[in-house]
Amino acid sequence: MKNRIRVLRAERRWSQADLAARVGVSRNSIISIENGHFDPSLTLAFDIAAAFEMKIEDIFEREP
Amino acid sequence: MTPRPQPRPRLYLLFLAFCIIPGLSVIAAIPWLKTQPDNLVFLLTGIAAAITILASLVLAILHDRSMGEWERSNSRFSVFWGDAIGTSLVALLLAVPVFRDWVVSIVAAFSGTANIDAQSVILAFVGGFITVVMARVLCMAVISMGWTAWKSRPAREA
Repeated sequence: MKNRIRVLRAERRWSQADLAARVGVSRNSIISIENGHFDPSLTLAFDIAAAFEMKIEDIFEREP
Repeated sequence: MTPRPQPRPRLYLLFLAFCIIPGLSVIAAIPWLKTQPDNLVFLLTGIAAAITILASLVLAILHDRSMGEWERSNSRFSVFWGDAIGTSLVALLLAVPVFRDWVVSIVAAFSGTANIDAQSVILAFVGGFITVVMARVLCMAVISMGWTAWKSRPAREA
């Protein structure tokens, strides 16, 4: 699954630790999701979308 | 944000102590245990093992609750492969004469018996190993069926 977390973070000038704190996970979790090594659960995806005040489908995209 | 329970260091330390103390107590009491009847020895070591297993189970639950899903996924991977490789390793090691001799020498040293029956020791070891593996497979199958049934239950009425 592809995602735009790195870009969205950069736009808001948030560090990975900032986003991790907003979502309530570890910084390593954010690094792993950002790099595409880990697909978050629906709950975590909703939490990330809520942190960016966006819809899930605007952040995550299923790879063909 | 989904709330996640925070780690509780004091509780961790308490159950860590329950994991370590029974084993150390048994080791420290070996000279005394050698003078006791077998039934009492098995009872005391069984109680020590049960306390250790229960405490480690509670520790595992506490740790699991404080983990995020990424950490939990890493843990699941490690448990799966660690379990498979560790179990296979013991099975492979049993084919190595040096390992079998080492097991026999350890049992001889602990029991204080000079002329120990090596074949009986290895058979007991293999029997114990197979029992553990079979018990785990059986428990996994039962828990899997129970958990699958529980997760397949109908939705609650609103």
